[in-house]
Formats: sequence, C-alpha cells, structure tokens
Amino acid sequence: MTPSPVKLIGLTKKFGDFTALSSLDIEVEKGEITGLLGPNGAGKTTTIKLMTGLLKPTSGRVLIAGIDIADNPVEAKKKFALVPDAPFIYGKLTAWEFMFFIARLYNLSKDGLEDRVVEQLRTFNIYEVAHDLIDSFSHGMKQRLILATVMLRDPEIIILDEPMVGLDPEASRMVKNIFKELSERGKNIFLSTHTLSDATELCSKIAIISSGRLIAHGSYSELEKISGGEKSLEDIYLKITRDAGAS
Amino acid sequence: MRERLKSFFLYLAFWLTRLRQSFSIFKKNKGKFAVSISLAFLFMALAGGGIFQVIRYVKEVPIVGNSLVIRLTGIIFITILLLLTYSSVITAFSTLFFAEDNEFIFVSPFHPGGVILGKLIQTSFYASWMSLLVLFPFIVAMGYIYKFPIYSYGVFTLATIFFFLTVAAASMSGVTLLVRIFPARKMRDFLIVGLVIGGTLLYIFFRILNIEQVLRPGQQILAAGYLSLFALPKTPYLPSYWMTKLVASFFSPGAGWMMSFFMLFLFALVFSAVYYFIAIKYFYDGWEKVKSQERKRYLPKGSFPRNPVLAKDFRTFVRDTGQWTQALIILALIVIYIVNIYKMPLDVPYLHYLVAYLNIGMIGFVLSSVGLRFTFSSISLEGRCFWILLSSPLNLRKLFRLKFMENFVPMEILGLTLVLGSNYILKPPLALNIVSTLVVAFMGLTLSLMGASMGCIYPRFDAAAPTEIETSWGGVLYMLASFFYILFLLIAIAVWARADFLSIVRGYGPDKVFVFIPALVIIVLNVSVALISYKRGIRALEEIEFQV
Ligand SMILES: Nc1ncnc2c1ncn2[C@@H]1O[C@H](COP(=O)(O)OP(=O)(O)OP(=O)(O)O)[C@@H](O)[C@H]1O
Ligand SMILES: [Mg+2]
Repeated sequence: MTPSPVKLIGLTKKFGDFTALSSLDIEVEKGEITGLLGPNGAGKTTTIKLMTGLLKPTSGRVLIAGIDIADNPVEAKKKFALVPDAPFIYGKLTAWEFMFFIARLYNLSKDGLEDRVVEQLRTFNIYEVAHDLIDSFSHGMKQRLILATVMLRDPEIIILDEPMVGLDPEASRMVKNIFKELSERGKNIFLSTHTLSDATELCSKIAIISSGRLIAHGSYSELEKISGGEKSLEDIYLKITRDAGAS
Repeated sequence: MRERLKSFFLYLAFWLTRLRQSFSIFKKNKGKFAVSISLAFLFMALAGGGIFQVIRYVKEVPIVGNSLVIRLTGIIFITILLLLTYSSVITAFSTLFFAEDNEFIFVSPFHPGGVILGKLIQTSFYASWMSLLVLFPFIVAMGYIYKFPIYSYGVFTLATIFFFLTVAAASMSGVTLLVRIFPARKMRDFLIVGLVIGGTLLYIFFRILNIEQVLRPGQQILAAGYLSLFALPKTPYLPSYWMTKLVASFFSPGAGWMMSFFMLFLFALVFSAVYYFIAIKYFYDGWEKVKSQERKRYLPKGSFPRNPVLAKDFRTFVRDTGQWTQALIILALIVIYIVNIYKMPLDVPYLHYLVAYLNIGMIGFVLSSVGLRFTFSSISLEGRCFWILLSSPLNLRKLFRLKFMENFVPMEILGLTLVLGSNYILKPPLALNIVSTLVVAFMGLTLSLMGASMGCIYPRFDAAAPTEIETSWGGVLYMLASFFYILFLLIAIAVWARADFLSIVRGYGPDKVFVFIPALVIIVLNVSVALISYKRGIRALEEIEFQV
C-alpha cells in the first residue's frame, strides 16, 4: 500500500492570537486532482505554505508521500513541486538560466537536459525570450516559466496556489489540459482556486475551507449530498459556506 | 488642501504599519526588547562618555578653549551634514523611485501632494536615525558640561528635525531633477561612483594639505593649531552653520538662540516647498521612466556552474549595478584608510605602536559595516523569491554555510589587506604585527558568522529596498553586537599591548600573565561567539518562516 501523497493531520496555524487554520485533517487519494476552495482569507494559501514547508505549523503534521516534512524536510521536499500564488523569481537571471538553476537545485539527470529545457520553454511559449532577464517578463510569463520548471522536473505531486490567475485564456486552457493529462499519468495535483468552473472541470475531489476550518471534503457527488441536493458546484459551494458561517 | 493633508497622514499611517512590523518581534518577546534597548543605551553612553572626555580636554585649553569647542561642534555638524546628504541621496532613490508601494499608491485615491510630503518624512527618517546615535550623546555631553537650560533640549529637538528635513528635501529635489534628465538606475550608479571618487579625491587633498600639522601627543596647544587649521566652510548657506551657532549660543556670548532656530526653520520650510513643487511636477514622470526597463539579453556561456545558488548569487550581484557600486564605496574606503595612515606624522615610536593598535579597532568597524551591508542582508535579500529555496530539497544547513562563505571570503580578504597594508606602512614591532593580523583574521570570521546568523534570526523578506533591511531592528542589533565584540577585543589586546610596550622600553620581556590571559580571553571570546552564532544561525534558518 503506497502512502497518501498528501496527508494533513490536525494542522493548526496561529499568527499571534489569530488562528488562521484550526485542526485541519485532509487525506488526498492517489491520482486525483484535489481542489481547495474557500472564500478570501479562508486559509488556502496558509495551508499550502504549511504543506510545502514555507510556514511551520503551530501544531499538527504534514505528511508528503508518507514522509513528515518537519522530520525529514529534504526528502519530503524532493517529492513535490510548488507553484505559489505570486510568481516571484530571480529577476537578474534569464529564463534559460533559471531552468538550469532548477535542474541543478533538484539534481536532475544531465542526459538530454538541454533538449528537455528547450522543449518545455517551447511548450510554454517562452522560448523566444529565453535569454532575456526575467525582470522584463510579465506576470503571466513568469508563471509560465515556473510551470515549465515544474514540467521539467516532472514530480509525483504538484501543489499550486491559484494557478490560473494571471494566465491568458489560451495559456489557462493549455495548463488545464496539462493537468488532466498529468492526472491520467497518475500524478497527484493539489490546487487552490476561486474559480468554481475550473474546479468543476478539473477536480475529482474538492475540499472546502472557511475561516480556517475544513467544512466539506469529498467527490462532487458527495458534496451534492452534503449540501442537500444542490446541483451546480456554485450552488453547493454557496450553500455549504453559508451554512458554515451560520453555525 | 484638506485632501493633501488627509493623503499625507494616510500615507504616513500606511508606512508606519510597515515599520511596526519590523518591531513586532518585541510583542512576542519582552526580554529581547529589554536587551536591545539596554544595548542601544550602553552604546550611546559609551559614545557620550568619549565625546565628553574630548570636549572637556579641549575646553581646558587656555584662552581659546571655548572657541575651539565651537570649532569642534562645527566639525561634527559638517561631518553629519555630509553623511546625511550622502545617505539621503541613496535613500531618496529607494523611497521615491524604487518603492514597491508606488504602484498601489498611484491607483489608490491618494492626493499626490500628500504622498510627496509623506515620502519626505520617510526619507528623513531612514537617512538620519543613525546620525542620531551620535548627535544625541553629543548634545547631552555638551549640555552636561555647559549646564544647558532644560528648555534648550526642546529647542535642539525641533532644530534637529528641521535640519534633517532640510537635507532630505534638498537631496530629494536634486534626485528628482536628475532622474528627469537621466534614467534613474543609471543615474544612481553614476552618482554613487561620482560621489565616491570625488569624495576620495577631496579627502586625499585635505589630508595632504593639513596632516603635517596634526597634534603631537600631550601638547594641547598643537591640538588647538590642528583644530584651527580646519578651514571650515563658514557659510550661512549651509544648515550645519546654523546648527553650530545654535549650540554655541547656549555657552558663548553673542546672538541668542532664536535667530539660529528661526533660520533652521526657514531652511526646512524653503527646501520642503522647493521639493514639493519639483516633485509635484516631475515625480510621476520620473517613476514611469524608472519602471520601463531596458531589455537585456545574456546568452549562455558554457555550462551552468555546479553550485546553483552560488552561481545565482554571483550573477545577481554582477548584473545588479546597485550592488557592486556598494563594493566600490568600500574600495574608496580602503583608499582613504591607507592614505590616512600613510600621511600620519608618526615621528615618535610610541605613536606607531598606538596607531597600529587603534588600527585593529578601525578595521573592525569597517568589517562590521561591510558585514551589515552584505552578510547580515544576505538571507533577507532573497526577498520574495525565497520560496524557491525554502520549498526545495536544499539542505538549510548547507545554505547557511554557503551564505556565510560567500561573505566570509571577501570579508577576510578585505580585513587582511587592510591590516597587512597598514602594518607595512606603520612597521609596528613583530609581536604586535602578528597579534593584529591574527586578531583581524579572527574578526573576519566572527563578524561574518554573526552577520549570517543574525540575518537568519531577523529576516526581512518584505523589504522594499536594502536600506530597509539594514535599518531594521535586527540590523541595529547586529551593529551594536559587533560594536561590543570589538570593544572587548580591544580591551583584551590593550592589556597585553601595554605590557608589551613597556617591556620594549625596559628591554626585558613582559610578564607571562599579560600574554596568556589576554590570549585566552581573545580565543574564548571568538570561539564562543562564533560557535553560538553558527548554531543559532542554523537553528533560525531551519525554523524560518516565509511570511510576506
Ligand atoms: N503572516 C501572517 N500574519 C498574520 N496573519 C496572516 C498571515 N498570513 C495570513 N494571515 C491571515 O490568515 C488568514 C488566511 O490567509 P490566507 O492567505 O491563507 O487566505 P486565502 O484563503 O489564501 O485567501 P485568498 O483567497 O485571498 O488568497 C487571513 O485572515 C490572513 O489575514
Ligand atoms: Mg491565497
């Protein structure tokens, strides 16, 4: 039995007196695209930062492919790729250099590395500007470059914070297709989003959090039941978050 | 008018919230707060004590005592004026044109007038708080010696604010006008290079002119000659002139304080107004100009180096002109330093010995300010890009060692160049030569470990500009900590050096106690500070959180 790609156990994060996340339990199943939904300030970014070691939990544990990220950060961090909500990358490197930087950082095989770099840069439509400083890139271009490094690495688990924000319709279509294809190849994807249509289209499992608490988790049809028979994800989402707010 | 005021206060409030964040560690940790505050006070007490001694000494010179104190005051204020101008110019670029919040400010319904004035306050603050650490003990020491009336401190406080505002407003006007003519990034680099070279030349010039008449030990009258040789620009067009007059009005007959106070107020008012009208007209254009980056291409050369982080840091450093202009400043510092020592009239052996000894302390201060600029800032300079390294399987222990080594090697080269160079000129006795070289080698190691470590304990990933990292509380703490570290070293060496010098005079070796105990103290001090820094630094980096 292979361990769950991402398992959060009683994950709690406090910023001073403020509890941003309280006792979150989520177990992601293999080969799924899991969507993390919730209103602004619900704690999505906080969850993702805790999952990837950018923040340290106040209590609780994060297991990446069965490895506790607090106990063995190096091994755990090898397993996933992160795409954060804001694409800050080294402005004084070129896109080309950044690809090789990542290749070295993650110790990728050198066989045919250059060809693979070229391939990914072409896929994400940044090959033409590969030797320009990243400083001159637009938001979307930087995001595409990060996605290119993710594809270059081809990790088992991909964690993304609002990946569609900042992409043009064409790129966003392409990225969604890539996610589906990756999922078919057995990769695990965990993403946060506000766009319910994206979630409906992509995600096989959905977790909804509100004010730092998990209020629903399951497949589409399971959520339908919880919400008392609402049909569209939008209605389900609104019903569930409102119910959580009322209680 | 009301709109302007509202925006002004809103902008200040906005900035103050950011500022508060850097002090928020104290809410969690009261003990840290107490330690930091007492360190700062101890620093000012020591500086004040030093200044107190000097003023008392000069004051006792027969007949001309008081007028010498006035000259000394003048020297202090002109030095502060120069330093302030220098740091205001650099800070102005950051606050005006490289501020990350500009984007937000311009889309929000801020009145530009309010923002412009807010930036004036911001610049004055960042550029001047360091000089306060000297100015404050100076005023208190003067006040104590001459028994200034209580209300004079209120007068000084206001006058100092006017003084700072004037310098900031003048620098900001200059910068805004210059950016209109040149693109800001290039301009700033030219300006820094120009200032550095110009300053160095000017300094050498003055040194060569004056230094032959520098004081001989123990002869106050010659000290008087030295002070009077300083041909101060006695021009009423500089605010430092009026600051000097203001201070002088409290202990020497002549015009009362009100005239000087009024002049300083007038300076602040006029320069702020000039700045306001220039900025209203050109600030936005300038900012647009700065934002539009020229496209630069770098074609790959050979294979990407083995150590990716090292290669990344190196390329970032070389391609960011702002970074290596700082290195240039340091180079100029070395030139000034060596010339300084070369031109010293050291005709008494005792002086050679003394200068070679004090030299160790000077090198320590040079190293610690380099450490603040580069070593302390190295983790924070990863900034918002730090997620890349922190979410990667890079061993953080290795990252700490790398950041340390990157800064330690240049620091050690700098330190050894300085100590070997000045010892070559000074030709101290062999024992002191060896001791000073060893101690400086130690200092390079300990100061860079301390910097790397404290940089991890107090990271500022959200800093909009490097000055924000240096002026953060962690930065101040690093400066204070290295100050005390150097002080302890100097005391330990002094114990040995005194015995050693006496033994040279007497012709037989120093008592063993005066060799072993200082040596032990120096070794224990360095090893313990280095070890603690190393351990705490790694722990801090392993527990670091990427909160931006
Ligand atoms: N460093 C921090 N210090 C204090 N509070 C924080 C910090 N980071 C996040 N928070 C708070 O934690 C809560 C959750 O924030 P988070 O960024 O995780 O929300 P989110 O679900 O990603 O929202 P959005 O949809 O806007 O991206 C918010 O109330 C936020 O104000
Ligand atoms: Mg978010």
